[in-house]
Amino acid sequence: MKKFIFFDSKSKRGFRFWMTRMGLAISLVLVAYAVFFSVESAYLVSEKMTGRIWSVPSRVYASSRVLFPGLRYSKEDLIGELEWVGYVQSREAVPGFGEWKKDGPYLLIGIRSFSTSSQDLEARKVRIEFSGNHIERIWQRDGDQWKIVHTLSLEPELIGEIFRDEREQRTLIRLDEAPKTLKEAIILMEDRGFYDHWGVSLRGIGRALLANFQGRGIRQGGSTLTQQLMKNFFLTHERTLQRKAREAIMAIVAEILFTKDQIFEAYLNEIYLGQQGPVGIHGFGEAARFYFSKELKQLSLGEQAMLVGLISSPGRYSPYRSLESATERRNLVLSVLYKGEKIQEKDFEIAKREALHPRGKIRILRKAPHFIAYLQKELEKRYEKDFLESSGFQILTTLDMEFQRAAEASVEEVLPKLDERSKKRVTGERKLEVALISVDPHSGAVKAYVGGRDFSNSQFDRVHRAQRQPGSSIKPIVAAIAMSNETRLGEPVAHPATVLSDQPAEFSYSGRDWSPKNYGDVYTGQITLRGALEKSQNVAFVNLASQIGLKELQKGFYHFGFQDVPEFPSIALGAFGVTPFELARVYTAFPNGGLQTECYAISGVLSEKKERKEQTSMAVRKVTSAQIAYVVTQLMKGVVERGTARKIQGMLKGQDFAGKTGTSDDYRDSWFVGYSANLLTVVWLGYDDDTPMGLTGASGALEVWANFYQRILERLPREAFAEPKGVEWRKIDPEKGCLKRGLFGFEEVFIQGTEVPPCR
Amino acid sequence: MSIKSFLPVFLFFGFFVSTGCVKRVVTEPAPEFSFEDARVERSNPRYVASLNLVEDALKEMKLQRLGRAASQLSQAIEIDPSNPYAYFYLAEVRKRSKRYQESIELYRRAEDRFAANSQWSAECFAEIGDVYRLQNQNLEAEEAYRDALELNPRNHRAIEGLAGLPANP
Repeated sequence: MKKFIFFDSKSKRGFRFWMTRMGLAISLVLVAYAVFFSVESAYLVSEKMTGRIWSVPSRVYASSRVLFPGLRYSKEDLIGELEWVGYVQSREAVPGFGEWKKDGPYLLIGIRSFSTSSQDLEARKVRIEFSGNHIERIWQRDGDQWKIVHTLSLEPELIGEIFRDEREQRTLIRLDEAPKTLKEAIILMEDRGFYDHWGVSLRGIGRALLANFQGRGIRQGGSTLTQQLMKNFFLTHERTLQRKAREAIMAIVAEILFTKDQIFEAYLNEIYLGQQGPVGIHGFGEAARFYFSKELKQLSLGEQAMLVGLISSPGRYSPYRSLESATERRNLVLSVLYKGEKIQEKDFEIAKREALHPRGKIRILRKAPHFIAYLQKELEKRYEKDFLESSGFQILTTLDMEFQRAAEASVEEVLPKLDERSKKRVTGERKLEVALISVDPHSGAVKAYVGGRDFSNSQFDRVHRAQRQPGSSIKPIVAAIAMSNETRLGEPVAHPATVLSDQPAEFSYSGRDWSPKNYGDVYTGQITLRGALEKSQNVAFVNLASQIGLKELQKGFYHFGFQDVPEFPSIALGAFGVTPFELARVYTAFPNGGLQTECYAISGVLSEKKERKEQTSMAVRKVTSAQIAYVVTQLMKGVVERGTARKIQGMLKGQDFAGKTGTSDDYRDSWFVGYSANLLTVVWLGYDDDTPMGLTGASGALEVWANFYQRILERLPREAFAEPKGVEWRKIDPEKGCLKRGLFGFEEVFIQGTEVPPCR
Repeated sequence: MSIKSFLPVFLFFGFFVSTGCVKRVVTEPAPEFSFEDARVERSNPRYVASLNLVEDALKEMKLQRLGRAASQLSQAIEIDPSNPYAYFYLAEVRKRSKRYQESIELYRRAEDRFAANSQWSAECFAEIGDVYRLQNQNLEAEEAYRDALELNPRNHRAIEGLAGLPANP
């Protein structure tokens, strides 16, 4: 039997034999590990680079403003708007894209390409001529000539982004979209042998080792572009040999699986180039927007060089941190380009002399926060959350940022004053809350949206979610229902001159008694429907409701689009919950000739490739006749001219307004719904916990509404409410509600054919 | 005189009647939108800007891109709610999208806005008639066609529409 000798110390051959075997075994393990790691890397790299490589947040935009000759819009207004979008003043004779320049009566603008819900608009140069506060003419550059155009859409303002947790911002570009000089500069600065090596450059490593040895520490990486990309994709930023080894293997695998161009394109989109608050700026497309407010292809040579200079240390060379360091670094990149014979001496000199003008940093990333949160919730009903946060959607909204800023400023200015007034009646430290929604009544497009006073304090969206009692702001709908419904004789239950009883009374319903009261316990005895609405007399409206019939009234409310209406007589005084959004939608029927418009905030959703995932436009539903809508509007005009909202009459000269105040029981809710021919706004005020605040609709919500309209008055077209066919004006006695003969009397509007008794 | 001698006269009369020469109604084709013509009606800047968007929307409609057309027409209405063409073509978009009730309301709104333009007003009623007919609401369709013919007795769509209705709707 052969004797097994494990280790014979006396035999030199035996020792060598076993050492060789052990070495082989270790090598095999290492090779196996390398194979396993290479296969794993191949899988990871392949999955990363062939699938969806980046998480691109969805961006939310305000509406695109349409300019046209004759529009009241001054040069300064437009410059202000452009600056919000991120455009900068040009220092050249002809502004580049993303720039503007004053030129006598003209404003020259280089408009960048963008998309609306209906169009993809190319970048273009325009010239706008102003005359005083009006736009006189608009030209668009067409080849060598200026061509007059009738309308001009402006690039919309970015108002928010929907991020994943890692909060990376990027604008994806294709390799062919990157300027040649930018690509050359990157290669010269970061990896000269990029097109020759297999992912790892021994020469680069040697150079780095030497530099690190001389500097006694790790100072230079020696990583190729492919290694940098792999590090950014998969690895940490720690400087260890193990990490470097993994990085190298992954780089080799990437080079085997993908072409140089694919790797370079990925690098251009992945590389970290700066920070905006909590959000990382990744890739050159995004960096061009972030630092210069331009598209990558529009950057000057100097600007390209500055961006390339950021790669090694975006913090240190950021122009926002030090213009001097950024310029020095840029010049280094330019000299490398020049020495590498990639640019001419003349271009080198010009670019070196070019002063760096980074645009001002965008102040806030999240504007209209309640609005964005509302959109996010809506969109999450249709798209998966993760998809929404990472697929680079463009969410196009209807929000008018000028109106939105005005609304926010009004809330900020008025609410502290109202807090003071309310404090006299409320104990403890409390702050009033607010909801404001402004819509175009003809299209239903939401123009301004304030869901609360301070988003950082409370994310509760009162526009959509606060179910509050509308109080008297419901009365115009009661009036409209009364005009639509008929008595047994086939006549409408009411018209503006219908006389209603207005004295203390007790009403019974289901065995219960109820005694509604007027504000301030003031009763007129008898009052016309117009008078009752203008003065907001409760008892007269309860009497009107009893003439309609409770069932019919409830049916009428449902027909107008309210969701949950109980069967109590007090619904005539708004004793049921509605949201400000709901009330806005219901009211659109009045300025819109009886057609109710569905209020919408998202006009379109575009994919990253600009495919239209959805498009929303106006939707209408007839809820009452054009004649009734007009008559009710005229009654509400009286509220503003003579009634409970008369204090705004002096403030808003030159415009037709109609509206209605609302106050719920014990002053828990303060409402005002008011509109011009083209803009309807609902304001609600109150405490979230329903504590009485001591403010009426007129002393609370109306103040916010009036402040808001004063700010935007210039923007509203001066138009009267459109009178439909089938109405007539007649002279009446406003106290008795009878027809008067002769020249004197109150001009009242009626639906044609309405029987009104003559005065005796 | 035998009856045979009247044969040529009968034949001639028969031919005359059969070819409709006794009373032939000359119909008019549907009016077509023209930016230049429409802006002559009113020169208000908002109206002109709004017309411009209608013109763009018509191009989208020809390409069957109804969503884009509807967006542009909504915007045209926002800029000038008195622009009848914007309502008219939005009604057509809604008709094509089978949103019939909305289409009818929008045609009615357009008709109200056309006011003095009887040719277009008649077209609105004729369109309303068509939309009712698509829903087999023949009584309503007949009424709408008759309204159209009252405004424009030569309206082709209304004449065709009426002729196409069943005898006892």
